[in-house]
Amino acid sequence: MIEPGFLKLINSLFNLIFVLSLSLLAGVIIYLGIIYITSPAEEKIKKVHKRWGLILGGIVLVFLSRTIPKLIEMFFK
Amino acid sequence: MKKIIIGLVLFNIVLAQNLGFPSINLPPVIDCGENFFACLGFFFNKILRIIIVLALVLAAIFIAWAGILYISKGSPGEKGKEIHQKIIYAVIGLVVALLSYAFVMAIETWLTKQQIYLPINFTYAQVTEPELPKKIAGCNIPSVLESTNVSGAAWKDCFLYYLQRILSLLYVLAIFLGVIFLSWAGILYITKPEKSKDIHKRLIYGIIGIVIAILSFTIVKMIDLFFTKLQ
Repeated sequence: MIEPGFLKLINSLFNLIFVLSLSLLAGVIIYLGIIYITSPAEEKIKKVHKRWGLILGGIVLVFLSRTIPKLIEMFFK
Repeated sequence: MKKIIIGLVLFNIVLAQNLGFPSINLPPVIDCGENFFACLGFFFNKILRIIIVLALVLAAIFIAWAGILYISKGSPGEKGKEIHQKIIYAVIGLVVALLSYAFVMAIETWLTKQQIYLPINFTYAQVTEPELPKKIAGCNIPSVLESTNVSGAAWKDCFLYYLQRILSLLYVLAIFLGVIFLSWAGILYITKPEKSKDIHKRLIYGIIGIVIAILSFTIVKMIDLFFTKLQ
C-alpha cells in the first residue's frame, strides 16, 4: 500500500496547486482590469473580451480537477 | 499641448539653476511612511497632485484661449460652436480630473462597504495589507548557514503571505492607475475636445476596469462558493 505520509504530501501538493490557481485567477482578473483602464485601443479590448471565455473555461477545469477524483472514488465504491 | 509642457519644464529648469551639482552626496531617502503600501500611496499622491495641477492650468489656459477666440472671431456659425465645445469640454475635463480620486473611492466604498440597493454584503473585498502569519511568528527567514527550529508549515504560510502581498500590490496598482487614467482622461477632454468620442470610450472602459479590479477577489470567492458550498 501507499504510505500515508506520501498521500498527505500529494494532497498538500494538490491543495497548493489549487490555491495557486485561485490566486492566479485573482491576479489575472486584476490584470485585465488594468488593461481595460490603460488601453484605449479597440483591438486590445477585443482580445481581453476573448480572454474572459478562456478564463471561465480554466476556472471550470480547475474546480472539476478537484471533483473528478472524488467522482471516480464514488464510482468504484 | 507638447509645446506647452516643454515650455513649462524649460521655465522650471531655468528657475532651478543654482550653483554646484545637486547630486554629489548620497541619494536622498524620502520619508514616505512605515510600510510599503503607505510609501506607494505617498508617491501616488504626488503624481495625482501634479496631474490635477496640470488639469487646472490647462483648463484655465484653454478657457482663456476660448475667450480670446470669442473676442476675435466670435460668430454664431461653425466657429462659434467650436468655441462653445472648447469651453464645455474644458469644464468637463476639469471636473473629471478633480473628481477622479473621489469617484474611484466612491465606487470602492459602494461595492465593498455599503449595502445600498444590494441584498448581498460584498465584504470579501481586498485587504491591502495582509497580516503576517501569527502561527509561525512572522516570516523571519533565517540564514541558510544557521541551524533553525522553524516549523515545516512556515514555508507554506510565508509563501501564501507573499502571494497575498503580490496580489495586494497588483490591486493597489490597478486602483492607482484607475485614478490617474481618469484624471488623464480629464486632461484629454480639455486639450482634445474634438476626440471626445474616443475619450468617452476610454472613460467607460476605465470605470469597467476599476470595477473589475475591485471585485476581483469577490469574483474568485463567488466561483469558489459556487463549486464548494452546494447546499
